[in-house]
Amino acid sequence: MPARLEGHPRTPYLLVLPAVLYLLAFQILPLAQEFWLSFTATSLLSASQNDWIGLENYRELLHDADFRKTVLVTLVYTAVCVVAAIGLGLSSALLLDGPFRGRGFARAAVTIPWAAPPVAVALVSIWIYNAQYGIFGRALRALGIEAGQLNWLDSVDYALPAVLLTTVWQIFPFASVVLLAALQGVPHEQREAAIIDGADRLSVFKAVVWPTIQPSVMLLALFSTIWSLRRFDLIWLLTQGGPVGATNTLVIDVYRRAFVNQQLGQGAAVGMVGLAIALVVTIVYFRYTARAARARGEA
Amino acid sequence: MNFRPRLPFLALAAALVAAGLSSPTLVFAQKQPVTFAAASFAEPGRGDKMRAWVAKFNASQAKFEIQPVAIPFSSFVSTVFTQMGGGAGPDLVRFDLPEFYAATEAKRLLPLDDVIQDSAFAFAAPDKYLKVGGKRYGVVFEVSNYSMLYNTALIKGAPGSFDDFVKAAQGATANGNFGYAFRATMAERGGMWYDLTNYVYGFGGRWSDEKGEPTINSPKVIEAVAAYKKVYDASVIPKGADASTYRRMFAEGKVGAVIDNGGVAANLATAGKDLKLAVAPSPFPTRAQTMILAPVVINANTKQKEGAAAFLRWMLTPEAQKELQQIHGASSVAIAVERTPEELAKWPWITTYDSQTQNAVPPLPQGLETKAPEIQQIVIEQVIKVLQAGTPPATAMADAQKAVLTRVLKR
Repeated sequence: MPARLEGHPRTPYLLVLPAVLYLLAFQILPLAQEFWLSFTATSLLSASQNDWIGLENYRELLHDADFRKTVLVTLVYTAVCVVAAIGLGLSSALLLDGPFRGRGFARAAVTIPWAAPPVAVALVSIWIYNAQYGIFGRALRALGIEAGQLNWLDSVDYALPAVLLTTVWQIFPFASVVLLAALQGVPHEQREAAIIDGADRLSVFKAVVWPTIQPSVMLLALFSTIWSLRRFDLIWLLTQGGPVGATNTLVIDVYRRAFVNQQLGQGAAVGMVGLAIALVVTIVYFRYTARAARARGEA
Repeated sequence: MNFRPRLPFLALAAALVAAGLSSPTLVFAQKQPVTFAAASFAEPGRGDKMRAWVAKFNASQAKFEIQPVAIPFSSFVSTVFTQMGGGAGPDLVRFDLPEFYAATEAKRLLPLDDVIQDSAFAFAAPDKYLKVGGKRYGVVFEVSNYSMLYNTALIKGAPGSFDDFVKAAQGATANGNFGYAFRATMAERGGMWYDLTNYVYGFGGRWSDEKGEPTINSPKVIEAVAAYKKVYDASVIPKGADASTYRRMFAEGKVGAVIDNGGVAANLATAGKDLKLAVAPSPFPTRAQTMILAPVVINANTKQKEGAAAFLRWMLTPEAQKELQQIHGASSVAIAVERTPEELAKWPWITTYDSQTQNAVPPLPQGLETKAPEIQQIVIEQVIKVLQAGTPPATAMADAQKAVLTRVLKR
């Protein structure tokens, strides 16, 4: 019986069928419905009563200066999150890869921020950033920095940096752990050979380490980008997108339009813009990796 | 031979039937369930009291049983609206006013004129806000007025004017204490709207006129926003502290005054055992203030209209109203209910809240109720610019008016 199953031409289709059904029911169909909703004027309270308005929702978004700011905030937030998380993750992974006393403890400790629930992180951060009681403002004031007088989360200028600081603190350990695992795959022989040949640490990193961990870094960049584009909980809990749209990202905007203002159609249109950005990032990633594979002669 | 072994089984069956007839559980099972969703059911303390109150209705009924549905306040609207939009949802819902108007416009609520006869009940003044287009869509569940609560250990007497109030707050700000507290952050947009609206109404302004035209850039509104900014800049508030934090600070005697609703006043009086609490009308040129007006409505998707209507009629009986008012604390109910001597002895300031009813105005722009969430977003953003970026109030309110006209009203 197992032999017949293995040889049967329909077996592969049967095996992927559950996954296909799952994707169809929980990803493709809702996405298609969201796409359709974005061309309608639909209220949350009358979700079954849709007035077709064509591209009106998209036209409004194009002419809405606040929405353009939302897209900009989203891109800045995403770019800083990805660069900072991978940069810090790589730095800490390189540190943790070397031999030192207490390495096991340090490796475990670095994962703590990642393991903490975003709700707890947000609540603690709100107190840390509080101008009158928070340790953050107190530390800045002790250093003579005037911005320590401000409540960063309520400041138009400093709310986004504050949200970014909290986000990066929470997400960089994941990059660190992934890159630490990738560093374990760097062949010791090649490192030793490069050092014997007189290469300095930077040259060893560029010639030996980087080519090995580059695929992991690229994959991390893709995941971090998509996760940052869709991050809701931390931003909502810290600022709800404010003040004055300073931290208003696309997902916050979707929630506000759909569930606060009860305009499902508008919310769907914003969601589709977010999806388009995520798709562009994914396409760029796959093209880049395909090109890199061709360059290595793998494809 | 075959008959005798069956006897025990027959006896057991008969006993079960007899037990079933007398068992409350089985009797309840025959009742038709009517679901009633309210965020209050999820509140510690009040939730249990409300369940006990509902149980009295259930005990009086042979046909229907109210089943409380507790949904936390933070997710209440999105949860119930999503259910109602999908053709389902609870039979009875306790809404706040913005959601009430949104649901009415979307035709998600049943008209109640055939359920509640106006002539049969002596409704209090706020009842008029629950009629849309001449039809009744809700019954008042709770009315909570706003007044100034102050700690006489920090602020000796009720300020006679707004300037006196600011001076008193400055005098109370010392040794880790703050003279006053209000909301001034986007993260508390909903609460800040109520705080700001109290200033606007208190200075004689309104968000819109009788014809439903926005009046966000009117002189009185600008004056109110300037007053909000004056307090914000007076170094008397714990900046960044959210409402739950500064209310706790007030209960601990670390904040001199807050302008808050009767429900909060009752909680603070209960929490702050040693608090020297006093209540006075808010220190503004006029006595107009906003209110929390929470109606109970029947979902248009209900299959239990008869049971839901029976509950509403029971809710309006004098006994049920009296008990509900006691559960609400310093808030009032659909029909004017006199405070008991025990209540007055416990909270003598409660009459200040009750007398505010005649000056209470809903927080929504009249005639633009269904657009309130978007208008709130625009106005609050502009006020935060005033507070933080130093934008002149007149400029910010002119920008808000323009944004409401173009983005919300599409003119």
